[in-house]
Amino acid sequence: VRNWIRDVWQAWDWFWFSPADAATLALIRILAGAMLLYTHFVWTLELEGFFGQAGWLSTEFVYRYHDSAYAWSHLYWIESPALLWAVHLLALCVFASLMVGFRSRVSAALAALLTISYAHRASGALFGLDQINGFLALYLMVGPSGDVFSVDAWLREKRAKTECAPKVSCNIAIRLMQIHLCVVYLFAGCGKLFGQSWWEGTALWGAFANLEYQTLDMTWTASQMWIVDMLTHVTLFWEVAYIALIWPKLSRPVMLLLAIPLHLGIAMCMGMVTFGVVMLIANLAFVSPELIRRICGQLKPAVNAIERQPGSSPPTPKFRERRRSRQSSQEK
Amino acid sequence: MFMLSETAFNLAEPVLAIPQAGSLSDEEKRDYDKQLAAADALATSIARRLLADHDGRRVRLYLRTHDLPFPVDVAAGKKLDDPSLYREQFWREVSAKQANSQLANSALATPNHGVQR
Repeated sequence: VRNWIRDVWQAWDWFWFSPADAATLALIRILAGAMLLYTHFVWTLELEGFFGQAGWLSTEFVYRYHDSAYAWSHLYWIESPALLWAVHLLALCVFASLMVGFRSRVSAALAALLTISYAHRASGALFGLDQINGFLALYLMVGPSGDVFSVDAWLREKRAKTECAPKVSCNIAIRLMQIHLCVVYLFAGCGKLFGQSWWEGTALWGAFANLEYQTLDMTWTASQMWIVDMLTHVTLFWEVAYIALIWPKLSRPVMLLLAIPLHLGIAMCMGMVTFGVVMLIANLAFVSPELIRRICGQLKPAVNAIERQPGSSPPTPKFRERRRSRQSSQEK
Repeated sequence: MFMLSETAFNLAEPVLAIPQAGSLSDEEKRDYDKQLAAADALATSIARRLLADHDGRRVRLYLRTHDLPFPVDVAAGKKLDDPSLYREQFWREVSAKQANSQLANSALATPNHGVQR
């Protein structure tokens, strides 16, 4: 029992507190920062309509809709249109700063606060994209997302010619994203299980036949309902099983590869390009930093830098080694 | 803007069917009243914006529902925008005076205490 407890403790310690290279987090910062910049730039087209005092969403409606004292937003206090525009332009600068990785830690914290603040004020005009934006911004604040692929890293290397060592906080940020994403898919999948059409295999017909969302005409499937049936059940299985199959090394690539057609399908067929793309960005949390560096053509110097750092070797779970040695000694 | 219509439908559609007296428990009645108040606040808010944009004195709001056709009907040639798939339901009528009185109430609302009456 003592060994089991020690193994569990070490596994917990390894899962959360082993240092991680920042490449994955940095790539998510760039892409999520670009998405935050884009989605908040879109508000610019109707800024006073959504955030002004006499806009589509009055503050009275927003308070009643939230029914909570904790849905804070700085936009509640802005009455002057000129001030609203000034604050909005500053917010866009913050998102741009996060995207390029300039003063990354401060930018990430401000971006998270701003994202939540905008979402609280524009309640009633949001959808899944804004929720995923919110959780990505929140966890980017936790880790050193500007350690690589950033203006901060470029300036640091120019000054001191050093690279940042892998950090525990980077691992924590990535783990939080991974777990949050698993919970999102699990709840989405379980919610679908309550719907009869998901059991019958006709649920995706509801998406294909919805003219208001339609960007690609898929109504030809009306005479090929086995396709709708198959796509419905694959989607449901993928969402429910994600939390279990994304962790093993064997099934992870399959789950990530399936995420691409699933989310791009939503993007192309239902006109929700931003939502499809942001879900794929969130799925990057399960891509190893080594692979990202390899793709970015920076693997060799990065590996060298990691090897130079004492105690910063890629996390090898000691509990697994110990378990293996214990099993082999028992066999003997 | 599109999500605004979804929110309007999700808030207003359940409360448009007025429950019969005594059919709701106290807790259900409280939830119903809250949703009704939120739906009314949204209707007034949208109405005020429309009145301001079109310089109007009174506006009538409707909920328009677009039903999904069955696959067998579409396979037989029915269009997704077939007129039989649309339903319209009266939601609210708001005058400029009512809309502006809500704006005055909004000024009394505080983030920490909700709406003060």
